[in-house]
Amino acid sequence: MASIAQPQVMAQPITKPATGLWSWLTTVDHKRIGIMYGVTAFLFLLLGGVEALIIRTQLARPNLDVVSAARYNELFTMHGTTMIFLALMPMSVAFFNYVMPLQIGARDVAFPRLNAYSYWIFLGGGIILNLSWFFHAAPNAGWYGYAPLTSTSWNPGRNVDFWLIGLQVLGVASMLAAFNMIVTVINMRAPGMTMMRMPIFSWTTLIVSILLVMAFPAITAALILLAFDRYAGTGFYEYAAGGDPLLWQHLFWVFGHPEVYILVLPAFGIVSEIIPVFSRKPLFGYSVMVYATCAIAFLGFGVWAHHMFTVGMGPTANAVFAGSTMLIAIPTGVKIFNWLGTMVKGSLRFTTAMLFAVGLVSQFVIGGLSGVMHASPPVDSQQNDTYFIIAHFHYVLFGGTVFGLMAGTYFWFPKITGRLLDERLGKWNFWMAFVGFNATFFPMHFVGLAGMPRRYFTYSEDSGWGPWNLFITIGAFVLATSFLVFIINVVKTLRNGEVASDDPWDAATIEWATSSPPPVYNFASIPEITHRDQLWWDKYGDHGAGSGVERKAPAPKEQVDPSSIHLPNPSYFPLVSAFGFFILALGMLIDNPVLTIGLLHLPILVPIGGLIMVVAIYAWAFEPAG
Amino acid sequence: MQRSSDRWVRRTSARLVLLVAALFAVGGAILPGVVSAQSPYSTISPVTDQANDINDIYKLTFWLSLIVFVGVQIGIVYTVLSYRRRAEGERPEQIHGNKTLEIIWTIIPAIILLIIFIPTVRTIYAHDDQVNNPDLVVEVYGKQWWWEVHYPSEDGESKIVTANEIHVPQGKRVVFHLYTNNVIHSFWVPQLSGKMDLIPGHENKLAIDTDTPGYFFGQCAEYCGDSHALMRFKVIVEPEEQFLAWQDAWLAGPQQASGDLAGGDIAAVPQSMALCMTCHEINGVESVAGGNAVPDLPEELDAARTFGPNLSLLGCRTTLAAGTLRNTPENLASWLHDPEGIKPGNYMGTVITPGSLTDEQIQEIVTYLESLQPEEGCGEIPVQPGVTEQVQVQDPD
Repeated sequence: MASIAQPQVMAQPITKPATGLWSWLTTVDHKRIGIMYGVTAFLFLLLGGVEALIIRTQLARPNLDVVSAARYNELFTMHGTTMIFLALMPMSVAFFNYVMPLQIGARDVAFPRLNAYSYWIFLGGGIILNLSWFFHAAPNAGWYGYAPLTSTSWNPGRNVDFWLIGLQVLGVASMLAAFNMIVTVINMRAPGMTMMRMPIFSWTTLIVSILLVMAFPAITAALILLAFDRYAGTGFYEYAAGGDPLLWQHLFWVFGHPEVYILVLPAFGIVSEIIPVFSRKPLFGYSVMVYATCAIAFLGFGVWAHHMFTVGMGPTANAVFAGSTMLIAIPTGVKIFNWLGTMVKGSLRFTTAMLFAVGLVSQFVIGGLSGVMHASPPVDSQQNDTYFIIAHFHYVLFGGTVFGLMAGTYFWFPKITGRLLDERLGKWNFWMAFVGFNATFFPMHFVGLAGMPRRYFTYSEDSGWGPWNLFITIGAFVLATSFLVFIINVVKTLRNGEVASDDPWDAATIEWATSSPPPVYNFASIPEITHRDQLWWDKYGDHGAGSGVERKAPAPKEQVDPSSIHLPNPSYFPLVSAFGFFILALGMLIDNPVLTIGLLHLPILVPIGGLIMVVAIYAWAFEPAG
Repeated sequence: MQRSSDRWVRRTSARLVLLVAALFAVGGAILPGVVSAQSPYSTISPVTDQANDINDIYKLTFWLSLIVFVGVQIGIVYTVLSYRRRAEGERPEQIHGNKTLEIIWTIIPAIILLIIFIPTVRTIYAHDDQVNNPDLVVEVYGKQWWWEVHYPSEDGESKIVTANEIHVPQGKRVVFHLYTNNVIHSFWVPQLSGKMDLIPGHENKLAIDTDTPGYFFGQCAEYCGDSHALMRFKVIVEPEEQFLAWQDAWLAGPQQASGDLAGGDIAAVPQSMALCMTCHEINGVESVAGGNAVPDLPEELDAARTFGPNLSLLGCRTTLAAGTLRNTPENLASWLHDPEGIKPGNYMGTVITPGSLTDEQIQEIVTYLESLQPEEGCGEIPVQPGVTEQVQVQDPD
């Protein structure tokens, strides 16, 4: 046989998903990175959940001694830090990563290797924070680390160092991811997708990423000053040295309050996708929803001092921040009403995803209303630092964020895995979560009003807080069980779940136009966008009204030779560089030989890690990108 | 058939919605009041003008919230029940929005918020103004984990320094000046007023009008380290004569009510107190023979935190270790035996560990300290009508 017409074996690009551990370690595919973010974040969520259960066990009765006071303080510090930085934020980033590029018709994010780098750095930061347990130095100053309890005079161990270095590392990961998302949304939308045709979740991705970029520098600066105080003996937060502990509070909350919106807006975005699909109606007031999201993000930077109503800022500051805080309730309320407006006169189908989405609408209202209560500084002076606040923000972050993320998981799971999560187990999952959640957090309003402060490792019999605390603890275990049901559902589905079609929910956005799961290159040919809710337009034409509208057969998928699609090469340099960063950070925390150069005392792991990090970035810069 | 079943669904929906709404309204209105007002730390059982002002705004926000809450939940439940998908092919009218509606639900919340904002601002300024007109100033210093209380006096000589139990006269405006030289704490007596933080380098003030006699429970509300949960205190509001009597007794210095001790003299401090007196003070006691020689005081016990509570009139206190234990000889003995076991992280526990003091020494100290009372006895602490005699303590085991 003549040797003509034998196709050359292509070294690249990669068109079929590679398998094996190595392919995951070197992947730059936004979908795989999204999955890795999601799985890692879920594991951290379980860890944070276990910490919460230990806390609840300790508080089940007055004067219990399940854990020591010091251990208890570590547990609540790590519970908060883990849930915020290692569970909820990265879980949102998982959705940003997986869904947003598909929604806007992109083949990947703008900087695929940077994306991998973000993930590996995040993983390193999470490991550093939790390594602290093994060094008997778990962070113990609260997730908000108020000075001067974080100073070496009042907290001489390594506990706070693990916290501050861990957070700095995580901050780098967040910033890189946020820049990546912003550039992707701005530059990589499919032809015809104007900003106001963009799916609302991708809008949320953009706004949350901007929030991240603007809020994180504040905590980064705050932590750098703290690092100087602790490592170099400066006194930025030490009154006796001319500093001021309130400086920390301002810097921290300038980050900390936008952070609340960083946590909750992605869930809002998810729900804004799900409710229209299962109502078969477009999102009510799309543009107002976009503006409301922008308004919340903007106002979110002007309310930080409502965390500080009891520090004695004076009447004017308290009044101003009370006003700005109340103002933010308006765009939030608009969102609630617009979701409701979407459902009214719709054709509602209650899948598990929809149940969680409506659950968010219903439960977030409670968190919003209790928030309005302590937006009033006098009321806050009674509620601040009590269980009333814990109830409030768990209605926001669990009833809001977690319900939204669960809704998103049930919604996009078939797209991600090609299999539909079991609906029967899903409903068990939702109702157990709903009941357990309310049983856990609603009575916290009562114990809060009864004056139980936060961060108490124990309480006396005569306080009268005992019975409700027992009830709360039981609720917490019910809530935990709902996650067990979720895990069973995932395992069962991955083994032999119902195979999903490309578009199992009759959805509106273009990620449902490609196969489930999508090919490495996402779309064989990039779709042309002519309308908002493009896929509905494709299926139903002019958004047909009334019943019995014919669904058009999907246009035949174009046959494109996948090998002609340009995709980035896998790379192990992000992993290597992140590992270097991890070693560098670890060098600041664990005992290792110290290099003394003049005035500089450098633990040896710091330059070693730094060198690995820099060399890997250098090598990555000269690596062919594919 | 189709139509009648539709009507049935709608009627049932409406009933269900009403039921749910009624349940929420009744439950929401009654539960917090019933379950939360019982605690001695209740934030909704005010006894001063200040706490009342706060509670009024709370009640306003509560009722407005309840109305909004019930309204929205009715909306959700009604929508969910009424617009279920009835046929697979069904596709409703594609409504993209409604400007009028959206303007309405922007304006209504704005009005509700204004209703809350106005009394809020009024109260903020009123309360801030009150701190400038005190009848009595009491300085409170937050420590890890107890409260030092100073009553400033003109001459400085007759200054009262006590701990954890704050006596104030009835019918006066008392202004607390709040300080700390360590970490941040928060001074909070829920029935008297909201909380106010103690912050290094800052002077914060909190005014209360003491109209109701009784004792009121306070606690630290800002996380301040290991034993944050065991930093309780009490404000005792008593008729003015009784307050003055307490003041005089304090200034006169403690007497020994019991003559059990050798010599019956306040100054005859037992030798076993030598270690105690390096950190604690007792009015009228200069030093203890052979005292002030503290063995191996840990380095971190610097001046800022060295001094423990003043022990004058200790026999009259109702609790020990900042509300951790009832003040009984047995509890005092177990405290002296193992402070760390009772109050984790406290500084006395770094000096005194089980075995530091022999049982005989402990007994000697207990007898001495419990005898520190005024000659005419401690005087009764008025109990607020309706509040049972209870002390916020835990048992030491």
